[in-house]
Amino acid sequence: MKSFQKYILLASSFAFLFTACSKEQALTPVSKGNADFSKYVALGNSLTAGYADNALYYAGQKVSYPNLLAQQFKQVGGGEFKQPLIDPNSVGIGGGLNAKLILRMVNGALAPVPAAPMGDLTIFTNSVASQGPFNNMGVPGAKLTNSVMPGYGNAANGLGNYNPFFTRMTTQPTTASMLLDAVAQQASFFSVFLGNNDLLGYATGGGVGDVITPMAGPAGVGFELSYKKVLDEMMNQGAKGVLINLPDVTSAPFFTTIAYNGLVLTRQGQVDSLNFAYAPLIAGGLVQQFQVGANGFIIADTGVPGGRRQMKAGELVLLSTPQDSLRNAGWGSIKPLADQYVLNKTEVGNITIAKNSFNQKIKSFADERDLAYVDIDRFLQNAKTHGIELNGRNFTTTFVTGGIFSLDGIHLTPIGNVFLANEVIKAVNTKYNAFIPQVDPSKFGGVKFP
Amino acid sequence: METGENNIVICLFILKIELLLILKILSFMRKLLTGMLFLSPLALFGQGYQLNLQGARQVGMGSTGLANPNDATALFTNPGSAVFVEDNGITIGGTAAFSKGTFTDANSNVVNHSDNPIVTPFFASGIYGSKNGKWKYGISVYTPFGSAMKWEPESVGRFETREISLVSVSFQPTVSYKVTEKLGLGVGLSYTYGHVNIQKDVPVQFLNGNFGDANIDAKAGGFGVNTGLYFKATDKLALAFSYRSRIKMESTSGTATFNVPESIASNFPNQDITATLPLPQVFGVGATYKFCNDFKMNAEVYLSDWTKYDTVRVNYTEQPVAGENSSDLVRDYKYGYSARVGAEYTPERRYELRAGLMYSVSPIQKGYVNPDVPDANRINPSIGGSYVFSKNFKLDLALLAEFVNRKDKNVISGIYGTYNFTILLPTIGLTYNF
Repeated sequence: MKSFQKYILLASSFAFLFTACSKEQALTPVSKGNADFSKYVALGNSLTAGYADNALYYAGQKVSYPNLLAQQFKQVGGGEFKQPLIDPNSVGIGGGLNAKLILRMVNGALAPVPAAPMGDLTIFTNSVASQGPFNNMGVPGAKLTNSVMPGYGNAANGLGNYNPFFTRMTTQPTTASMLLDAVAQQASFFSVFLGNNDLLGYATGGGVGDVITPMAGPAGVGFELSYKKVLDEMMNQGAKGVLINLPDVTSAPFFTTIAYNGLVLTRQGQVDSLNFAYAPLIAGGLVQQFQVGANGFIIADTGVPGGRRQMKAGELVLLSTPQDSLRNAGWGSIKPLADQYVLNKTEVGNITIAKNSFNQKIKSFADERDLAYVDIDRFLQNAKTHGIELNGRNFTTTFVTGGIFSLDGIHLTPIGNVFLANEVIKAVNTKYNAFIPQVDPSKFGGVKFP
Repeated sequence: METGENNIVICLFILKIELLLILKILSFMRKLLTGMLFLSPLALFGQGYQLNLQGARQVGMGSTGLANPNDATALFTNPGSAVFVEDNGITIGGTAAFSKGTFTDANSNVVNHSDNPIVTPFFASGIYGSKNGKWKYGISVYTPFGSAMKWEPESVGRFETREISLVSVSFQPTVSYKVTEKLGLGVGLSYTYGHVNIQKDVPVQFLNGNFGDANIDAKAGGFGVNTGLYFKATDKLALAFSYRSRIKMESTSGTATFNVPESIASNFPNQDITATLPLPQVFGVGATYKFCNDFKMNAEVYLSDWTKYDTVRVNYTEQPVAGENSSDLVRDYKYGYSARVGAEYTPERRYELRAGLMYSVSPIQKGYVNPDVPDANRINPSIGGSYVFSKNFKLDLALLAEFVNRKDKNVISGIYGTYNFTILLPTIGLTYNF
């Protein structure tokens, strides 16, 4: 049976042919590069805490970008990541003692409404500090300048200098600062995403009620020295880390959902009566002739004669504007929109200038100290102008349908947090010559629908 | 036994001597192919979801047989050669396609598994004509194209394809004419029926976190032509050419069904759809060389022109879905190409043995691989054999293996990772001659 053997030889040489072919390497070997992820601490504000839908609640905390990052860091020697978790069944609590927002059908249309009349106050009254220390040092509402203030958990310091979100998670409310509690954990790797509220306090208040943090001034007052203090102390044991810059407010749907010319008139009668009522201002050039279709809202402006004028392109109406009043109570037409709901051109300019100088400063800190730098500002601008295609899904910064921003128009959805976490991973991989696998986005989504 | 072994030794000896001749034939075919290549400015590509499973003897020999008529399956393989099939008879058979694979996401290192349902392409052919007559007539039913893919839940490609099944059946009456004792010419007209079902997740979430679901289902049909030439150059060498036309599969009925949260259901109205699925035209040239009475080899090249398979548009006939009147599947296939060799040992005994090898270049271009048909350039080895019960009754068996390994980043969806698939295709055929 020699012949048979020859055929077997022939067959096995065929088999050899395909095994000999080079194969595409499917898995990329993980590597921590020249960083140490064994102890990761995240410093930040609401965006770091996992605040979403206008409240801090369990599901949001679980998908906070630092928690997502920590799960990926585990593949390269990362350790446990503790967060000051809220009860899974709680409706959460927001800055206005409100519950989280959910989408619901209201009068035949989808609208974000609070899940409960009131937020869960036990979150503030029951301290979870004994479960700490917490790797997630994200405190909703904290400005960069707040993060270095001792006693930030002390109610006696009064509003603005005290934060109940910090009180519940620190063992030393009267003396500790966010930074002290973070430094005490001796992080081997850290992230800083601070400074948003130094802009947002002013921006979300319509430019009234709060001021933008100045660049100059000592730590706790000025941006530069506060940021420097944070880095000096986080890095005093040689930790490495990543800095995240500040997104432009015009990327967030809180500022872009209601158009400046959202006064839509459908009947000639409305047009005529508004033109009659505003005849003097029209004559003075402060208001344009009304017409059927889109018109600029009428806003309050103390800087012009008569105290009111029409909005112009580039000015922003905030999502905090009561939309029932826009529709039914003549707001923005018969009654001017109050200043607190509007960012005029000067205010938008102030915010943009401050954001750019803050980001330049953060970038130069990252360069000087050899830290990874995440340009989330550019990422969101790109999402706004082009959208982001992700494995067959498209994401934009549009309210609700865009997928990135949660129902408050400022904080991120689960998939929004995945995007941020993956931008951090890309920056860290590049800076530290590591390969940390990105978060698989497949299981995460945006806003949920009833 | 002695004679058999001697035959083999002689055959191998002749094989050595005549290697030069084979190289000459191959170089001729390469020239021919280069000519065909020249028609396209881009590089050539392979097979997509085209099946090469229309006869167990052919499968065992690397899916060759253009110039090697043996039984009624020649009606599909090369209608021009069918008139040279000695006996009238019928051949039936089928394949069980076992396919299993993974997708490894390049960004996250996450591995998704695809445990695909077994599909069973089949073939049945009958051929009849007067002994040594000028004409042979035949009818064949076969599965020209097919695919089944089922990804595990929550896979990276879930919003592109979660599950796809494509089945097709062709019915082809054929006439084959012996122009001279050396030249055969055949034409078959085919009608192909197809059924495609695509299921995918819709990127809108219910309150419980589940994603929506879309189910697209279409039935389609189209006519085509299958023709071929067969030329018996010498007692030892036969040459062949075949052409199967493009088939424009027009949907005869189709539906799109969505399951999404109630509050936005009006944006996803269930409705009828229409679509056109163009199937490629396929050119083949081949040669069979008989080294001695019981040993022959086939060598062939195929060109599949998938260029009409660029964008498959699903038209919503009633209302827009999420604001769109249609949904486009951008595929942008180009040319598929394959080179095949097969060997057959047919001692006048109870058994016959075969082996083959096929190398295909995928019609799917870089940047266009999708989780529905993750095709790649591949080397497919095959083996086969027959058991001869009597002159009139034969059992053919074959096993074809396919290995897909390709890393790609889709330019449209952004899906980026490595597809690894192993496909085993055991095939059986029964021939009864009368």
